[in-house]
Amino acid sequence: MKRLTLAALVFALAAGLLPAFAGCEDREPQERTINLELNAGEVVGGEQTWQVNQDDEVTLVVRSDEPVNFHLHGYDFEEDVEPGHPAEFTFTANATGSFPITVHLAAPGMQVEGGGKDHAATVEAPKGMSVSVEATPDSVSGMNVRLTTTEFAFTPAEVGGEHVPGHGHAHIYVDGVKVARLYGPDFHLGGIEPGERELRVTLNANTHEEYALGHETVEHTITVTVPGAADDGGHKHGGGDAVEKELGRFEVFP
Amino acid sequence: MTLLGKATVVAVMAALALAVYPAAAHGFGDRYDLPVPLGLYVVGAGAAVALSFVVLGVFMRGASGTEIYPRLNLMRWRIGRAVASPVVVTGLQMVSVAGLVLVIVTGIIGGWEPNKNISPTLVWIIWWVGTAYLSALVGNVWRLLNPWNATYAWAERAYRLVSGDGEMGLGRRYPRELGAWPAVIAFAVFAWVEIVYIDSALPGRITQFALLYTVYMWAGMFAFGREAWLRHGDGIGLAFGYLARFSPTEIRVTNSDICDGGSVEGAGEDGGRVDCGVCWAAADPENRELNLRPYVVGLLDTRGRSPSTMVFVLLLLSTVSFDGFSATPLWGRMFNGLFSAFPDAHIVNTIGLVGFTAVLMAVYMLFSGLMSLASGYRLLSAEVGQAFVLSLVPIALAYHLSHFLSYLLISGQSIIPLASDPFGFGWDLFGTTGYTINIAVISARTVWVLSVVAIVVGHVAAAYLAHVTALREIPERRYALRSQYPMLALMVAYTMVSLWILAQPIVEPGA
Repeated sequence: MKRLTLAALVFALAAGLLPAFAGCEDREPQERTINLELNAGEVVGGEQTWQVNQDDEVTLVVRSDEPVNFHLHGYDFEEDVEPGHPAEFTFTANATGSFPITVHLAAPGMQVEGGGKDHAATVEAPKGMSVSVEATPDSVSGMNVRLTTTEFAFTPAEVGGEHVPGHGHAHIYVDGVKVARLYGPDFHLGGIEPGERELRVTLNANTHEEYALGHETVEHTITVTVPGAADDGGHKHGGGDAVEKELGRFEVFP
Repeated sequence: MTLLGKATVVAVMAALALAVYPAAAHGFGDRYDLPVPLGLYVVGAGAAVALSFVVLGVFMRGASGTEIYPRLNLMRWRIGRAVASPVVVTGLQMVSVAGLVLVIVTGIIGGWEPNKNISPTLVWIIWWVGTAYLSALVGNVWRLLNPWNATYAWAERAYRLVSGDGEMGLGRRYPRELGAWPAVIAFAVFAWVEIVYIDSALPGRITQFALLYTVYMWAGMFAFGREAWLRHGDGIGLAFGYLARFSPTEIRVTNSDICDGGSVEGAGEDGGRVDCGVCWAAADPENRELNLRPYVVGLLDTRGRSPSTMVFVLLLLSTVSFDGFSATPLWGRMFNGLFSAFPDAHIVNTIGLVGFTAVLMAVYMLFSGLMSLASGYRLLSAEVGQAFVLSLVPIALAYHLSHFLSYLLISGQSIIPLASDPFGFGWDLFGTTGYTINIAVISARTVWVLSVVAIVVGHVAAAYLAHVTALREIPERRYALRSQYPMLALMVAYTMVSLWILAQPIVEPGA
């Protein structure tokens, strides 16, 4: 009797679970187009999930009014998106799951200096002027930066004064944002977010114009990896990058 | 904008980014779980409630709470003797010790990025999650693999060879009144690092913690002896040990007089000693058994109970559940509220972990009181608390296995490319660096069904354990059964919470 009750219950349980398997009767894969438009890093329309079914043919189009690096985790699509240059991914959603969609902003909360070098005033540099930059992680925090220059002298005492060809100071930009003015070749760059960063240095006259040889600004750009804390769980690209921002989830249901 | 102004903006933006995405738990690797759909959730919840009454009914009709269970001694076959042979054991231990050394070394000379260094994946996914699976489903493998135990035992043997017959260490008697409190503290710190500490995925940090734990283990074993410290100080070993009580294997020594009584487990009902390393080492080979047993029954053995082991098990349960809870939108909202008062993710998550543990303990003590009341005070609530805590383990375990299944199978694949380039030097030792993770290796539907079935089965196992324990601890059958009403209510609630967490969207973006 007891055994019968038990068997009946196990059977009922199994029957109860059946709909979970049967719930998804064979449906024809569909073609789905997802348009994801970003305005100032926010999703136009405010969606947070984009849902498709397994084996759907998905076309994902990403537009943005500012440069961002778009990343669909799991499926691992990553591409830079710029205004007027949408990214388009076409794929079969073969794997089920809930996949984060994130963007890396150029720099958090700061305007990239209006196109940077294009708009800065320049002054003709003496022939042979050059700059190169190298950066190594500091043992405690941040990066140690060293500039090597030719035909150039750091003249902190003269800044803001008269233009003397070949004299001046340097500017250092992190991801397009000016973070410091350098009066000498060595500098400790602290307080920058861990992750992949673009370091750019320019040489500037006492009067602050950038030195240029013809149309070419005297500058050097390198990519550095700033060590530091990982964010919410080690992303596949670049590890600890606190400016990665989650827009929502791309969900593929069975 | 001034530099200071910009720095402030950056700080605020970083803070906001954190505030929006609090899901920092178990700090490594992406999770792609889809929430369990409502239908399956309802079926699971209903089944848990219905089967609770079945368990109740079976015992009501007179099933006795027996602790004698069938055993099959694997030493009868060559394969069993091979597994237990010193060559195999030492070989496995050497692999384990090499793993520990690799983890420590990669943090020093390898790349710092968590994804380009083998250490975070090896430690947090393969070792921590993987060993929990093996412990619960296969047996107490960590007891065998424990690299601190192995290295210390080797050192002891070397010392004996050199010094003749002296025992290495200070030979201090472990103070009984300390119980397993050192292990409780060690495990609390470990859980905090795993769940709260933001830098837990950095190889350099992992190296520091591994060295710290190594010193802690060696010092404890040196002071109080290897076995005493493994039982009372080794928080990680104790955690795997409790999970392994669920498992279908045990080691047993048939002559109990061999042990000096230092064992927590004590003598079994037939005079044998179960899972006692000292006895095993001292016993003659013909008295050693490597047994297959039914799942779950290992949790009936509550002889080593004490306030500290009760707190240890509750801590194990709460950290497992908080890990999942911390990824729910509810916690997301609580996090944001707390974050405005304490703008530091460490503080907020610490509050969450401590608060969650405190709530679980308070609820458990309350229900212990209710069970004591229902038994007509035949058992005091402190005794109830200690006697019944292990019966909750299957619920936590089922949740744990469900929660980590797709994570282990998907994020765990990172070990394949990392094995070829463990330090991030650009090597390709096994030609696998180009391996891309197959995210379709397990489907959401499989995960859902396995999860819900595991949780329902875990719930039934828990109810069974509690009933057998009640019949053993409380002489009068009527009161023993009566004591089980509060316990069943608690278990149904705990199971519902587990199911509820699995049915939550993992992250609610922009909450």
